[in-house]
Amino acid sequence: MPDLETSKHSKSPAARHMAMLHKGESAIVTGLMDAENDDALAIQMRLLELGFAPGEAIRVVAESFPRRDPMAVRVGNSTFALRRSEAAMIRIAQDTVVKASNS
Amino acid sequence: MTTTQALHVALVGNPNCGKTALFNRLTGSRQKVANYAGVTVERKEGQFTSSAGFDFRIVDLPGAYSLNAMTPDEAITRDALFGTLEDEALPDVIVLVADATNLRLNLRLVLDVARMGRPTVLALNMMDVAHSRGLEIDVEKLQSELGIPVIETVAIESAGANALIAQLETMTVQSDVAIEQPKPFHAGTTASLEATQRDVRRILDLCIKNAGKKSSFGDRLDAVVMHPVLGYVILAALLFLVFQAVFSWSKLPMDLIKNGVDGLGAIVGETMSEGILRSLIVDGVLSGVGSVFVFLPQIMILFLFILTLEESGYLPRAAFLLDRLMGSVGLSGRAFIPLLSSFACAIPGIMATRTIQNPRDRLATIMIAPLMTCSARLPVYALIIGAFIPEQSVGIFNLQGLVLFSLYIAGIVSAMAVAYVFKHTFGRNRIQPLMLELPNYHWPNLRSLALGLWERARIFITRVGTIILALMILLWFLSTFPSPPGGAVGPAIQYSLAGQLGQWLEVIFRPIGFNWQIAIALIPGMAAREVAVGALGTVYALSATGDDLSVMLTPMIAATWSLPTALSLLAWYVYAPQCISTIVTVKRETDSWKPAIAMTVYMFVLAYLASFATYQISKMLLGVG
Repeated sequence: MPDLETSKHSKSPAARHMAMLHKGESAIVTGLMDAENDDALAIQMRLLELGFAPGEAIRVVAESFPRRDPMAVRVGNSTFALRRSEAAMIRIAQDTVVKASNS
Repeated sequence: MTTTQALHVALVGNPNCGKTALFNRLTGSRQKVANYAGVTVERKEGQFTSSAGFDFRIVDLPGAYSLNAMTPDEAITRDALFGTLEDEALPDVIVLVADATNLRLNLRLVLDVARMGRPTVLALNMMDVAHSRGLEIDVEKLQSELGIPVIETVAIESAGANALIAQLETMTVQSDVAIEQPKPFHAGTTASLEATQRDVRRILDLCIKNAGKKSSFGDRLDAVVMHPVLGYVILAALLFLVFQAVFSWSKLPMDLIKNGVDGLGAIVGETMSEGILRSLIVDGVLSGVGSVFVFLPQIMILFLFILTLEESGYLPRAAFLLDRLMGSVGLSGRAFIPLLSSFACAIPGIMATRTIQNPRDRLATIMIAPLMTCSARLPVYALIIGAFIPEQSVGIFNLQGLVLFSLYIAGIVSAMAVAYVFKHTFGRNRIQPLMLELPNYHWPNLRSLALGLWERARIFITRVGTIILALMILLWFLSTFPSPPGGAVGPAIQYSLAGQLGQWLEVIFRPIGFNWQIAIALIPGMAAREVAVGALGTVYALSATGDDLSVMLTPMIAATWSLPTALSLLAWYVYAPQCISTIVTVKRETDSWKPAIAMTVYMFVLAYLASFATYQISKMLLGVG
């Protein structure tokens, strides 16, 4: 496992992740969830490179059909289509989920 | 290195940063598109000479998010930058291209590449959009932070690259100085990636003077385009519009070409005396090549739509909408873009599958790509539909367009079924990432569209002028010799080599309703599907008795084929004879003959079964034989 000093990896089942969000909701990224294997780690590193880094504000702008999967997430000035399984790798702050007034 | 040798420049940047538009701006149509040695990643190179007389050779590297490659494309970009690619020299200068309106994403790759320590320039692209949004960037400060020259560019304006060219000229002069080898790249850890991201944010805080106002246009459009209900309605409507347009818009230019070819045939027929040479020109060249060339307008219209959808940023949204549905048959949403390209041609479609990381997903996509109705089938469909389906309206729709649309649907549904079988035969594996960027919407740039269309037209015309022409002449030869014995009745072609072969093949194809003329046409059709139309043109022109020198194929087949035969041939073409180049591409892409052979066999079997069913059932229903 890489150096964990900066990102808050969490084993706690109560940790919130991006896949819990729905359309119109926003949050602040706090780090990565634990990677289950090397494949997951590779995806996590790419997500980090795409801008899902600690401190970034994200917002869910669309959900596909069926089962609201994949989801479109805005980070910075970019939007990415992510499957829920990928979104679940990004940890978000507990208290920053806000429902947007309009979307 | 001396200044007389062209400076070797590599363009590198994130996908969607306007890199290719900048490449087009710099090189115009002086481009060479080929493949990298051993792989089918497209290699685009162009040349230009600056007004001061300096020569440049520019390579447009595949878009990449990171040097830590996840796809074959990104691996090529990484290896090209480090000079470790076979047959590729280390570039003299790297031009990093970044979307000025999205530095938050683009700057990370910029930092990675700048740290290589090679001669590098940053082109801040899309500055026009940045200005219109009030976004202000402190270029001086950015330059000192990155340690490389920063140039503002606007790829879509004629003067938009002049500053970049001026900068490259100064680097030509400097390039006599010994240049350091690139510093090795380390993939890093999540911690080092986070450190780089903090660096990006620090630089942005320093260099962005005014963040400007965000355009809400894209967000509002997304709310409709990616809506869980409206989004699908729009997608279906768009696809339907494309197929209607392919038929209705192309009518006038197609008639013009048809009349031109007929006129030419008539002139040649009148001026030349009857003989072998006249037969070769009128029956072989004009009937054969002319009947393929006439489909140029339809292919151009199809590509116009595909290029427009691609440039505007709509395609990834369609992939977003379809990811889950495609997932149900074991495909990734990412497969949508290769599959849509396959509607133009399966070869670029199969090559585009390299953006799919998962090998099994990629193989499944490759296996079904040829079931997408490629533009080479269009001439065959158009010929048969034009001859057998009455031109009338069904409600607001054109019946011919409707039939064409259903043929496309048949291909798609079959592809999904094959993918489903594939999934259940070979099983799923591992996590399959989507992680697809949904870029900001762009008005398609007319210049890029024109360049793209020109490229396609050139390929098609070259094919007609070379492979198809050669096959047509060969077929004419086989259909003319040996001459019929004295006192023979019936058209001479029946006694020729092709005629004999066709009659032998007819035994196999009789149960699916094909006559010997069709059987002959299927053989050259293996080289390129649309050749079948040309082949029918030649075969029927030679079958015509008397002085009938008409090169009109449509009335000829309308008079001689039964409707079940026509429908059966349509069904055959939904599945079968994929062209040889597709099979070879599959072999090259997968590095094995096994998938290529498996694909050929399954498609032939499906084709025969589908045609058999179509022919027998329609014969029963229509009560004809």
